[in-house]
Amino acid sequence: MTIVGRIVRYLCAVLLIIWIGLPIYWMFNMSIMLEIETYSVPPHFIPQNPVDFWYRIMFGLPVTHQLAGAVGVMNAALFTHGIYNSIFVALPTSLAVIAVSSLVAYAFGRLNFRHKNALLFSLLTSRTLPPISIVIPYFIFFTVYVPLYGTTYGLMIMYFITIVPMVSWILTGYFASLPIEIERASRIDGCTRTSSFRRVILPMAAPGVAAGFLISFIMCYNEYLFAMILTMGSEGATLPALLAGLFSHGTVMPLMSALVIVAMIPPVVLALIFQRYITQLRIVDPVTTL
Amino acid sequence: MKALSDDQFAYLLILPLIIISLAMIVYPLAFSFWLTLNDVNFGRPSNVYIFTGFEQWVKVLYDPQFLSSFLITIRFAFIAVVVSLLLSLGIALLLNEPLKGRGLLRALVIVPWAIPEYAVGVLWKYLYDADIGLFNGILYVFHIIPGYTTLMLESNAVELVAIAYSWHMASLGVFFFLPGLSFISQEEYRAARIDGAGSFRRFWHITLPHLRYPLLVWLVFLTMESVRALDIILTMTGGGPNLATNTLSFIGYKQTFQLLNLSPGATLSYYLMFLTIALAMVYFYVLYRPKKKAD
Repeated sequence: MTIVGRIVRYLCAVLLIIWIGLPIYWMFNMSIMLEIETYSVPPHFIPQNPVDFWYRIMFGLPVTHQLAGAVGVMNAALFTHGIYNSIFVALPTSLAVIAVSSLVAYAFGRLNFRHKNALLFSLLTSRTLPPISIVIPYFIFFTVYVPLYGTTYGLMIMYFITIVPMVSWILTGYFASLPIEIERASRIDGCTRTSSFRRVILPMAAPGVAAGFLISFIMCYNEYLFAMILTMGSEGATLPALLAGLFSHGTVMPLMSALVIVAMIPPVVLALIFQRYITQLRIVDPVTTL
Repeated sequence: MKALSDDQFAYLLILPLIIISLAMIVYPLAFSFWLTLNDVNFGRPSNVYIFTGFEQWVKVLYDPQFLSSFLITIRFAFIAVVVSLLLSLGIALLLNEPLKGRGLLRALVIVPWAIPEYAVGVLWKYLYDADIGLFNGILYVFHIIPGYTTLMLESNAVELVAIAYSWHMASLGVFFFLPGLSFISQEEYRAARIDGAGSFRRFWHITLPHLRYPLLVWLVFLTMESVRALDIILTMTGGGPNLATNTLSFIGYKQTFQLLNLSPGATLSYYLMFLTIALAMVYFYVLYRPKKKAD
């Protein structure tokens, strides 16, 4: 490898780190300033008096600085309840999603059956529906027919039905990429179809299933519109629904920054932990591999 | 128990999916269709439901905002798709090369996608901000501008939002390409190099054909997501400045949840869906080449 090529490569790597890191750093930078400092010109790229003031307000801890205004908007108990709701919605939903999706993906990726291509295409078209046209019918359904408006259960149902097609679609390509010989061998050795699925396919597919779980969890946790429409201002309000309330009222930027930083910690940490499984999520055309 | 045939077994496995599709596609589509045939407005004190037939379908088209919004949507989606595609392909190629600390970089790359889309909107809003924005700060410190200015103008708002959106989406795209890249054998590259193929030709004739299917999936996914993107517009611009980022998706949202005027929103959603399906079909037509069966 030439020296120039190596230098270019590392230069690109540095640019990549800046590209990813800078927006996040700027947010964090502002979240540890008092409001007056964020307006300084030229800007402080590193805060002169870093404070944990906004984080304390967020979690309802005693504060040292006396600042009126923003403090009134923030309801700490509601906020922690929102985080709890978000995780409590995302976790069971993702488990259900992954249970259903891996069976569906196995069928699409490994079996040939009638109308397979048409059904596969319907997986795809489910993503073409704009979110508003999904949420309006359910908003009315949950308010008029089944009293699920403003509950976390309503959200769970919404997320389950919207994320299953997506994760199934991703996992289909993954199941299709697993070597078929091992499965055939296990069938010849006398495994039934179900035991072959359980003992041979699932262990092989474990990284893909883990990645599917991660994707599902992050999509549930990060979803904004459904959460806002279906739970805003209610007992079941998740974190995005609470933040949506603050966005529309308008709040001071450092507090906003701190809120967003805290909101993004769970998915980011999960993504970092599960990242190596996603790298194994090879996508292969399920129609032609069989 | 009698053994099931392949067909029966497969349908047993995808039965939940079929039920979900009924709930997720058929019910909302049917309900929205009913909405388009009526003029449903919860903002009116009485006469909430008025049957109008296909009037909505025409009325929405003649709305002066429709055409401009349609163009904004296309412009946004086009820029977001191109920028995300180039970024994700470039980053994937970089991370496929031998680099010190590659594992750490691969882990970091997923972070922008893990950040919720609404948060990405806030993040980038504060980068572009006229009073406290980072870009203003950098330009000012390097004396490129004499004082803080408004960076997000009517003329470039769509592009600025699309770049923020690409920051979020490109990091997912990397993970569509990386696994595919790592399965290309080094032998092929070596042989091509011996034959005198430059790096661009190696990329065009070896790398790209291997990535054809991930590329198709990624393009379809990316296009569908950017045509219907809403969260980022809600938190970043709110359709502004002066309706510059007023996408179809955002009009639908505004009509439905601010004006409580459900029918135009539903009709718009239908048009939006037709647009997405048409785009997806174009991709399939252009990119999809089913390989002959190997055995």
